[in-house]
Amino acid sequence: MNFTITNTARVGVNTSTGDLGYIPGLGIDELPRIQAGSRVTQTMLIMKLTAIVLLTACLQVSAKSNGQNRITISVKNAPLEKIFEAIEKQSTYVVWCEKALLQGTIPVNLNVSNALVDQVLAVALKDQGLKYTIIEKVVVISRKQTQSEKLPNVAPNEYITTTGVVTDENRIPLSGATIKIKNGRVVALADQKGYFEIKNLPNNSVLEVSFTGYASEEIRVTSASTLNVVLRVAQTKLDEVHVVAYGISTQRLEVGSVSKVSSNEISSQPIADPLLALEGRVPGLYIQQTSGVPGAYSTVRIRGQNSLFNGNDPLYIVDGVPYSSTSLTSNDIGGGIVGTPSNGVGLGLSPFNSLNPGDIESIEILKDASATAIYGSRGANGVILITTKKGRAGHAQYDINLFSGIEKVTRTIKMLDTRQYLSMRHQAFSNDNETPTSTDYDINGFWDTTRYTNWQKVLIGNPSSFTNVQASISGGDSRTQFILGGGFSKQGTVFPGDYSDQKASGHISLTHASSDLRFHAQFSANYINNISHLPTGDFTTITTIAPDAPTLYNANGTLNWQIKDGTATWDNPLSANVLQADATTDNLITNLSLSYQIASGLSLKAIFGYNRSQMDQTIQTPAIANAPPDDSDPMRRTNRIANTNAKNWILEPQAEYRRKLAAGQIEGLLGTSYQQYRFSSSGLLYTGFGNDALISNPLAATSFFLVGNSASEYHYTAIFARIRYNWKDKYLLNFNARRDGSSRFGPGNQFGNFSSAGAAWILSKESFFQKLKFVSFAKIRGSYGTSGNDQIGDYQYISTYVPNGQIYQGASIIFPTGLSNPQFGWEQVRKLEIATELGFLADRILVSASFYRSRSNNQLIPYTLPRITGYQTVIKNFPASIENRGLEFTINTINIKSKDFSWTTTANLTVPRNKLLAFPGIDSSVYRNSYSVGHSLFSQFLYHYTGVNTQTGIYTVATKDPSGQPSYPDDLVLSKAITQKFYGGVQNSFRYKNIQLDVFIQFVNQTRLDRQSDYYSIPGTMGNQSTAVMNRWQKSGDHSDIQQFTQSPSNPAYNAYFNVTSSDYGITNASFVRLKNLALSFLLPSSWREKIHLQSARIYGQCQNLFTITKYQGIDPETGLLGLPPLKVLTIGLQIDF
Amino acid sequence: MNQKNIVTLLIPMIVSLLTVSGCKKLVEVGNPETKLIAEKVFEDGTTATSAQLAIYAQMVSNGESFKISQQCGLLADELKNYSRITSQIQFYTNSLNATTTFGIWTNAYNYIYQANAIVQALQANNPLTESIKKQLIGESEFIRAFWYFYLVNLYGDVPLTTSTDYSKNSQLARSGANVVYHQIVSDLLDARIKLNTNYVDVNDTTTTTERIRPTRWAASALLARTYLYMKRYDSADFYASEVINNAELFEILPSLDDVFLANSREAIWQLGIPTPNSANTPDGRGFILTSAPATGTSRSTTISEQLDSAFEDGDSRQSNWISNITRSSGTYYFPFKYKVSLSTDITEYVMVLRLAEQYLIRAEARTQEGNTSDGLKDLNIIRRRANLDDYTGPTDQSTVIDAILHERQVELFAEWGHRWLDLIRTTKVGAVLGAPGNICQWKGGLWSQNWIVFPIPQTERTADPNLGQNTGY
Repeated sequence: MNFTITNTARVGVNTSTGDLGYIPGLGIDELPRIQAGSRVTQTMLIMKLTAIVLLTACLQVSAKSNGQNRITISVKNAPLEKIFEAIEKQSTYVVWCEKALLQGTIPVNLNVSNALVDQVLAVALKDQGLKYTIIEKVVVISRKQTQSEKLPNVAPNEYITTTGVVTDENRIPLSGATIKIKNGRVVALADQKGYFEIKNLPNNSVLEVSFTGYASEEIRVTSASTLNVVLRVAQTKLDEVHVVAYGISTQRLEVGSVSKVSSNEISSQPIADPLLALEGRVPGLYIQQTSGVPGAYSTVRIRGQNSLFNGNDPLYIVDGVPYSSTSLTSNDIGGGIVGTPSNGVGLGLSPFNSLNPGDIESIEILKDASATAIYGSRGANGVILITTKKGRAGHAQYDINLFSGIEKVTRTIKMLDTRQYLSMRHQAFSNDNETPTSTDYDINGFWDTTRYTNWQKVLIGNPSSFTNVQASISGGDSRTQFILGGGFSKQGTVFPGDYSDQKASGHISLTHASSDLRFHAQFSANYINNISHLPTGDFTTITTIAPDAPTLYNANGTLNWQIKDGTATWDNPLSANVLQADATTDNLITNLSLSYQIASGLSLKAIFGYNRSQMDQTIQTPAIANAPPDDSDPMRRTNRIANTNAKNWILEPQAEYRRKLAAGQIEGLLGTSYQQYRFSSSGLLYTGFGNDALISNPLAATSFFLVGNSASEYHYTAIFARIRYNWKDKYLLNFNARRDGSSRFGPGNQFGNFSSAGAAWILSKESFFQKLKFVSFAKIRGSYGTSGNDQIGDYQYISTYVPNGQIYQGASIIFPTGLSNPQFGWEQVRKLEIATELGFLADRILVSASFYRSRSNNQLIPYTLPRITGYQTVIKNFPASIENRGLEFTINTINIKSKDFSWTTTANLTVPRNKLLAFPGIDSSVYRNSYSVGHSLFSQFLYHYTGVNTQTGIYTVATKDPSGQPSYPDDLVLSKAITQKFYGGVQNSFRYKNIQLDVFIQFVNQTRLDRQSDYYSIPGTMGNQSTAVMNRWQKSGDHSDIQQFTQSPSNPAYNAYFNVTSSDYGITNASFVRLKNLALSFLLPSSWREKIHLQSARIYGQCQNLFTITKYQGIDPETGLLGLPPLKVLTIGLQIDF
Repeated sequence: MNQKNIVTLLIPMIVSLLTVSGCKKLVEVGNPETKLIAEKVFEDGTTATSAQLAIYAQMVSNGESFKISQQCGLLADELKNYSRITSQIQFYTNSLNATTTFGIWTNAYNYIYQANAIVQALQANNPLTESIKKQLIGESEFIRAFWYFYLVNLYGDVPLTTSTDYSKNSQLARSGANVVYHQIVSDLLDARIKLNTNYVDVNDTTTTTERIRPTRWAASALLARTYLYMKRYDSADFYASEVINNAELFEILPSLDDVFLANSREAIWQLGIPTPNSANTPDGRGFILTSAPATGTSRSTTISEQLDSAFEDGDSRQSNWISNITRSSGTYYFPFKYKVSLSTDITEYVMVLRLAEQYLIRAEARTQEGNTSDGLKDLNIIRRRANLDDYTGPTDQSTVIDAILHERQVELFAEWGHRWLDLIRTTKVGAVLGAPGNICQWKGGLWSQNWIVFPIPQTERTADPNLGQNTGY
């Protein structure tokens, strides 16, 4: 049915009504054919059903729900309600009928099979004095107008009563839609069926109907009538719906600071960890990959570092369920190449690697107090909301998307060849007045000095593959929608050896509403199985092996250790290749949300969430990883096994109230939250295997040790409230309050209160603004509030003893876990934001600028104690105050928009600053050599580098002592901040007919503290270097930034090197501009698609990290000097919908 | 379910949930499952004992015996270094550095914390039986004394903690060595009274043959050593005699190869090897070479030329307690008191206090008191076991003292730093290491009398501004 009326046509147009004389959308041939078991229709039905069964193969739900609004009913003397119920049950239509209308209606006799709804209604309403109007999927029953009613003769200033229904394009009623007089007060809210009634409406009024995420409609009302209003999903950025805490909003009407990254932006990037899709795209969000290894952890900071130590991670919420950002990788046995999370900070396998980017509908980033305060104690570092895909009403849609491609390292370094390397080594010995010793195998003649190996090529130069397949079925009717999806991806590594990260995932979401639309239920489940099969170390770090190192294999195919005197003369890098660190993660996230509207405007809702993650790890070391004679020692064969479990459930009952108040709309939300998180892990070390082949079977071990076992429980409860007030879409207010209790604090300190207030003023709604024609939108918003932080780990307030699995004299020993402090309480962050958002030229240009300032105090820190107290730290609140402030800018422009060609640009820029505002007693604390009041937390105390002495050729640093020997800490000086100065991204999207091109460039202006020229070893010692070292000082008078080569501690240059490593010498420009993403897609023309019966077919090519422009001399400015850089990914793919 | 049912269920549920939030019960997690809260530990004899035994197990796991023996051996003239690790080179060249040298500091204060916690808990109102309390308090006082003995001898003046109160301890200044010694003595005297006269089992009362818990005799033996260091020779003589006279428990074993075996009758106190284990003693694992010396921490030292040449001809300690390995790059000699390197089959324990030292303490104490003849008797007991003839040199006090110190050098080498501590307490260190053509220079260092104590770690001084530094660092 096509019943919508275009925007311009709508104003002043009355609704069409259907009665027996005219049935909209139906041809004359389809007029009532009311007889039992019509053969024609039955045949048609069978044909259609066959087609559908063939298509779905397994899904029956859709057979009834789509295109089959056929009613079979056989009743005698039935009240009209019965007929309506039957229609609602058997079709996708919803019948709206006021009870009063049913009074005095005549019972109906009806016997039809597979009749159209219109046919049924026509018969049922005949002679009842009633008529029906079908407004998309809502059947509105109303009194039939008499001739005089049909042509009302209303005088211009009279008052009329009007009713109507608001639905979306899929005929789903938009409950809660606001109806107001244009530029005036709110006059009604649509009920659960989308119905509204306005009494005493001045005739000839223009109504404005709006709903979050939809373009508003204006309707001139000139007679008492039933309006049908169909709102279309907003096409403009301003009105695009985005998810906020416990609800939805739009940029236009949002008071807080919220950024959205949609599935389009995510799916254009060949990535496996959804967080990586956000890199550079969100102002105020800085994501840094720690490594290019698949599954490696990324550091995520929203608006800077608020906490001195732990607890700078944002709060993550996946479909309403808090999702832990702590890696499940075992601290007991380690994580191999991805490292260990040690106390929740740092590394390990990223928990976000256990989410499927293909299942994600959108990711919203909440930043300011107004947006985050409702998360209270956990919103201090911002909130990242991840929402998975939901089904949509309509024909069942089958979507298959697959891509495949290759990966390579982004950059390599130019390193010394053997000739240069040997000359460096010889010169080092001559500088030191020494001769090579028996262990200097690289130049003492034991190794073949004519050999040359490019170790970067051997160890990280192996192109790998990346394959991803996603498939889904979705569909439903106006009351029940579903999506069922599955995915598989496999990503290799650039290392020698068969390593990979593989994911298999399933996603299901069901949405249902009762026939009266008061009750809503939504269920979703996301499951993923991730198998991470990786080496135990990063081969990149061993690319500095001497270039004349021996061959990798002996003639007989075994690893070559180049044995001398029974001792291996080198660590064969491929020995690492027989080690493996495997982690299998199972992750299930489920969510059930139930709501019931108990009275007009008042709904009760309950959200149940459950998340279970389990990781099983095994790290295996076969004996052949060791040089002979240990290569057959059973005790060198180890298998470390760890199991980690995290279970998290949440229950959030809420009451929501919405009504018009004065000339505006008020929404109140009152809710509570209960959360329990249980974490347990254990680790075992098996050793003494008789054979390398048996290493994965613990039964073959002769001994085993328990290397760790822990369990913790975290309970959390909160009550929260929010009031939102919208006055004529002009003034918007938002108040949040939350009281939280966390089990991480001791008795008396468990509860904390947090709140925020925010306001927005849409200036463009003011009459004085209407003159500025070129400004289509103008908003000023601001917010202030508090949120907190409890990221300190469990049980820190009680003094405990723990066993470590060791037995002494037959007793299992227990020892203290550390010092405890029962007194500590919440860390608090006060956030302020002022922002303006402007739209020009009918919103073709949208710009926004925000200023934010967060001040955190009552810092929860592991306070450093002298070891004489028995331990190094105790958790303590410290009155240090940290300020993060900054500016964020975004711009969205539609540069060209024509039928065949369009070009849009989106850009963002963030300029962050960080400052330690106060730190009482810093001068007498251990932090006096780490931080300085009034300066950035990223400034460091370092020696000041003063160059290479042109006479001696040795590094110098500024010292108070004339001897030139630096003294710690007296000679330390505060460096400039070593962090990002600004960062952002620019996206350009071009579309020409069926071709779409997206280009995303990320830029970061930053410094790093790295020793770029020497790769962590002294130039001159055994180990390869960048060719940059060839510019070293050689003779008196030389000016160079690299000192003379040395390899001996007896040479003062040796010690000078270590002084320089603690100096500002290493502060280097690590700014970069990266072509982060390039996606080109070609949509098959419809004529082709029809031939192969596809709704949509797209062929695409996507590239990630295509190239990087930087002056940085290490491998990559993001991951650092000598770690695996983010990989360059080149893929081609195909997406089809049918 | 029809809608009425949903409503009747949902509404009361949501309303009740809305109202009970904020209840304290909901944020209580109870006690951790895999941990024991401190108060509970000391309400039960088994867990209280486990807390005590933990200190011994950690001392073995952390390899304290090997670390102290190796570091002091390198500082003195016992061991030769092959390691390329900076900190180990610094020990060898007597060029310790406040930013890199921690030595035993961290672990020692951690053991002392654990001992303090036990003493504190058991001295308070505590339900354990008196016999258990006495034994455990005694052991903890003994451990506290043991580690203060090493702290004061290696670092000089050190802060003295006798409680677990970190707010107080974190502000402490260093106590004078005499104050620390006073604490050591008073702890040992009290421990000597409280500790059992027999080796006790895990229940703290039953007698066992396992010599892996301190007894009265361990307290007496450490007292004898402490008094010797304090030059209180009469007391040293008295407590050494108390141990020596207990022939029922202790004897000088005729065979050198039996001395370091588990529960050897020469042992006054040994540390057992906690299970599960991958090796016997840390000393065996760290000193015994199976190939040319390594460049790391373990298996990177050999017997020095100075120690090797200190042995008299025919001293069977040189052949039984030192072994060697020959590679093309040379022959390497290494300490071989402990014979087992890596086996998980436990035959050796970590020897901490043994009878031979008590004879040498008494020999020195008696000689210092003027009783040279009795001093020589004790000395000769040790010499005879090493297949050496009785001492025949001059019998003037000073020569005999030198003979005893020489005997200590060859008897107690590579054991708990005896040589380094002897050189310092006898003030001979400057002459040995620092005299012209000295050993320090030979090792690659530059001698100063300041180097007789370790630096106070810089990070400690940063965290506790009241901590002073030793001269020269």
